[in-house]
Amino acid sequence: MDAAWMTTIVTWLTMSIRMSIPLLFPSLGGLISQKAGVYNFGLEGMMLCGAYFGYYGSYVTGSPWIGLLLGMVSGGLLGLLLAFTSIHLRVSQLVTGLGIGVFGLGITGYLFRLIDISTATSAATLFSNVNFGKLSSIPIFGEIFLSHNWMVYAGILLVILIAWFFYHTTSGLNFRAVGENPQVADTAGVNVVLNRYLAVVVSGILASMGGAFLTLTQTAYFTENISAGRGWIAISAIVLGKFNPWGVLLACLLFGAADAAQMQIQVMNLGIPYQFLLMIPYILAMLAMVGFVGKVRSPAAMGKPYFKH
Amino acid sequence: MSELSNTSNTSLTIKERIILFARNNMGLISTSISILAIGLALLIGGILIAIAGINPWEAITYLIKGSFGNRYGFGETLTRFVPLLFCSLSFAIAHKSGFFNVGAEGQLLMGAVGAVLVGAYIEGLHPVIHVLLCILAGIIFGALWAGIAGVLKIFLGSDELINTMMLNYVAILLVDYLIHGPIKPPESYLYVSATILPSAKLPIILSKTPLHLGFIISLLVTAGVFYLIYRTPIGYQMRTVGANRRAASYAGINIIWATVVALLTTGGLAGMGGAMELMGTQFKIVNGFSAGYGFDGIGVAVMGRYNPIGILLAALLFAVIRVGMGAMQRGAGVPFPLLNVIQGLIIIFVIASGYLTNRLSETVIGGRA
Repeated sequence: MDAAWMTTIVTWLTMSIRMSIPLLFPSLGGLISQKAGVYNFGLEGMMLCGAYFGYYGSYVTGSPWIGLLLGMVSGGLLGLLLAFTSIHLRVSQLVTGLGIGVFGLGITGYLFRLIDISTATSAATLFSNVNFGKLSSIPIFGEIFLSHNWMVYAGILLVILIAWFFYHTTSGLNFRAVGENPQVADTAGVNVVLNRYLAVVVSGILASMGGAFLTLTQTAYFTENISAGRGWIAISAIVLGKFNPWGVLLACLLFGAADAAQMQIQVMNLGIPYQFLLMIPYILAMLAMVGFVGKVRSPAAMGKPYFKH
Repeated sequence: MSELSNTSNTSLTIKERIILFARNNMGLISTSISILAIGLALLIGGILIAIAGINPWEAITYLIKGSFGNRYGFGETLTRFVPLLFCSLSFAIAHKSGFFNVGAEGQLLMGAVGAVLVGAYIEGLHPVIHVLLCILAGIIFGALWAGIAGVLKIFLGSDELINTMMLNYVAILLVDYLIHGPIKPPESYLYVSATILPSAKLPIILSKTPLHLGFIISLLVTAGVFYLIYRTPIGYQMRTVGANRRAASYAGINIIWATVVALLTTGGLAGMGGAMELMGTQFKIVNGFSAGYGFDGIGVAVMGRYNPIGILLAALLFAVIRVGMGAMQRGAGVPFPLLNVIQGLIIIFVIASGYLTNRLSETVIGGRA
């Protein structure tokens, strides 16, 4: 294998990891929410808010941390809205989620157009890559695994944390019980409403972090509809990952790899129309559902409002 | 509560009178709650306009003047009404049949592609035949596009919600590809499709406005759709499948057939909306041809509570807001995405207000609605 190919493959693997992260955060968010029995179909809207407010906060203050915080607050608030309508009001989780999607698209587009983006200083300050010192100069390994910003590692750490919480703690067991059989969980003294609220709010925060990743580590600018359907692809990644945090990570890596591949093929200029390359993640999301939906068991009480008797 | 109706009115307590009133006027009450929800959404819109440093009253004046304050604006509002109505019918019929078609956006685009192929490339037809063929092509293309999600659902059990959503993105990219080459007129330096021939254009029905025949057609189609759902055997089967799959199966209903009909209808309606928009308004496909009609249709159907009168009124309201928002942008500099803010809020508030109506009917009828 010649050096040019080697470089291409290393770049592809590096980008695969990087491109999987904006999907990983909303997927983990959606997973947490679904495990507790609530569908979060507002991921797309929450991502957009995270992306916009992340950008705005960083652009105004010059600190990506404040931007991220602002983005997380916006996602948490939308999560709270979804929690209230689905847990307290018990109305359609799907329609509310769609409403949040339309709202998120609108509010971010509206506020963004109020900013004077003609000025040269309208770029957001980005998170810089983690400095691993000499380790990052290890050939191949260093470039693929040690050339990222902290959010990449935080995302992977989050997978470990969530897996540990779900399967190795009592609260995690209670949490999953809320999504499997809320009546029984309630009888056993688990607070169904509290668990579900926390789940949906955390899910909103995570989704918004996925959006903030786009503007605070990748583009430095906000563009309307920047999430480009990732909030929906995330739902497919959850199914493909069989409702397991590790599975979700693998699914996101697969989507990230596809995204990275189509980007690189675009650069190679092979004469394939770019529109067809851009379709790949969406088609993959459809195929992922085809192969696995029937065989995957989702939380039993998912999408069903809980009525205390 | 059931003995209430047997009691004479004179011996009722105030609480019982209120319950009796609510029981007899559920429609009125749920309509009032919807109107309150819309009012709240508009109020928040007004606050956002004020935040932008624009006088909300001035902006609203533009909205009203632009959407129905003059002959042209009125015609434009009724023109926008057409694709909104088709998309909401598409969502509503799918909803009645038990699945979520959030892909009207893509189906509308594909319908427009079908109509442009017939409308621009087949020459020498009588206008009536040409128009009918274009509409048919729109319906077929929309139905086939929805059919992809349908095949995946029926044969592979794959969730139609994600698939119809993904197909939106694929359709947008596919159309973008088509207008960059295959259906772009060779002499054009813009990325647009070929323009349909005059014989495929829908006639204007109100002079000095853009209002075209598609408006009348859309009203007839609305009547037809609700006739299909409520007055035909297949409509009954579709609704039964939508209400309770298992019961439908025990009743011997062919679930696959009912689902196929529902899917073809839902896709066909959105596709027809695309054909109408093309043949009556835009005549060629440009980037951003649809501009969110498919998603607006969901809001219209939810707000109209899936019934014909409700949907007609909601589509009209959404059309007023859409046209008015354009006027507000031009006149007062209000950014156009406020449209989505208000529509998103309307969806959330109207669906959330369902809680109140549910609680009310629990109290009044003694069961969950």
